[in-house]
Amino acid sequence: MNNKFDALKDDDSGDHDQEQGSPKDSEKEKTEDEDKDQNASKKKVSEDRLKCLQPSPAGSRVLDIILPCVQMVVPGAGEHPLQYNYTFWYSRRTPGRPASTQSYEQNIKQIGSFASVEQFWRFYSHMIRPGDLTGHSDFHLFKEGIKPMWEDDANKMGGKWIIRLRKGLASRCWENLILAMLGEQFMVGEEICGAVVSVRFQEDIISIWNKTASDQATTARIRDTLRRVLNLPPNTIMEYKTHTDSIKAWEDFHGLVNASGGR
Amino acid sequence: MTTGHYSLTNVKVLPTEDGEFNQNPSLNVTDARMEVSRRRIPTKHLEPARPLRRCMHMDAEPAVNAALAKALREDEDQVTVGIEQFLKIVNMTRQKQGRISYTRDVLIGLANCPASREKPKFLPDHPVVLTEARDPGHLWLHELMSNCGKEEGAAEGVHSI
Repeated sequence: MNNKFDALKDDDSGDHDQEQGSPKDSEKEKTEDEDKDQNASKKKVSEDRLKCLQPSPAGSRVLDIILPCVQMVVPGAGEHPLQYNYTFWYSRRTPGRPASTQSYEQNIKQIGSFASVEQFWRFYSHMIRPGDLTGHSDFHLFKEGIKPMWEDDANKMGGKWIIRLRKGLASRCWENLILAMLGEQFMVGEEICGAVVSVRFQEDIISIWNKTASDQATTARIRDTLRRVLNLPPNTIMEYKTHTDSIKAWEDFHGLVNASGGR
Repeated sequence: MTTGHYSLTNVKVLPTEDGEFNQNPSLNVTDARMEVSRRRIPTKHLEPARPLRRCMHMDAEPAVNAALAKALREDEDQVTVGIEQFLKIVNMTRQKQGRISYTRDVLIGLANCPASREKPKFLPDHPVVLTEARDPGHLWLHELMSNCGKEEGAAEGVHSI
């Protein structure tokens, strides 16, 4: 671990994605930075990407980072369509820096979007498995158009189930989790937003995000499905955390770290 | 049994099983006339408890058929649209119909087919992205053996990638 705050944060909250989300004010800050930094031609490219990708009300900060222009994906001929399109993301904390929204922006990358089972395997087979990742990294698999951020419209009223895994289980559990999600095994309508696997210091964490944290029937069904598809022992501890709690914890933590006022 | 009000030929009035007919003859007379007037086959026996339901069936069926015919006509129209629009329509209608679901076994079964092994058209150049596809068969068998010890060394945050 890079500093004691990292370790502290990982240990006390388990909130693996604290560095992924960002409060709105720092988001603005970042957008301004981008405006300063980017030259005109780069901006043009960003705008083109923006047109091609799904509308993103929270701004183009994620889109700027990313990929060649990709049109909305559709299943290929003869392929097995999925109920939803999904996008793979990867993020990793920069060594030597504490979690901040800036490092979040720099570190999250889209890997690609898919609409069919075959397209999913194409990406998945060309990626390292989570168990082979090192350092402080996350894979995210979210429905296309939903960013793996607390502030996204689809997430802001939501929350997540968190399961902590001892080292060595991440790859298998992650695969079982995303296969259940892609195969629509949760049966909670439109509620699922995405899934995250987080490789951490002494443990790995998987989580699944849903839209409505207050919908107890949904969260209970997600929990029960998780137990089933992950084959969890009955004593496995599962924690549900709302994103508003996550944001508050993040703000409290950073307020504490940066008491002088700078974020 | 009071049958004096009936003058139609070939109509027999049968009591219902619970004998209600006998207790309230005037009501049944009305029912019987309605039935006779709506039926195509006047020779059929009267069954006082059922005609209303039958009339509803007769009314409902043409509506169903019309809807079906309309749906079929719409299907024919859609054959002429482009493939992209067709896929859009499929995507929209499949939301309304049941969900597209796959079991884990089905999904894993598709991992080995050639389409699943191709390299995606757009792949970012990134340390977690591989230039060649992993072998999925190897992946499933491998994991039990390999996961036991290998990640202990990685846990300290050694950034090899």
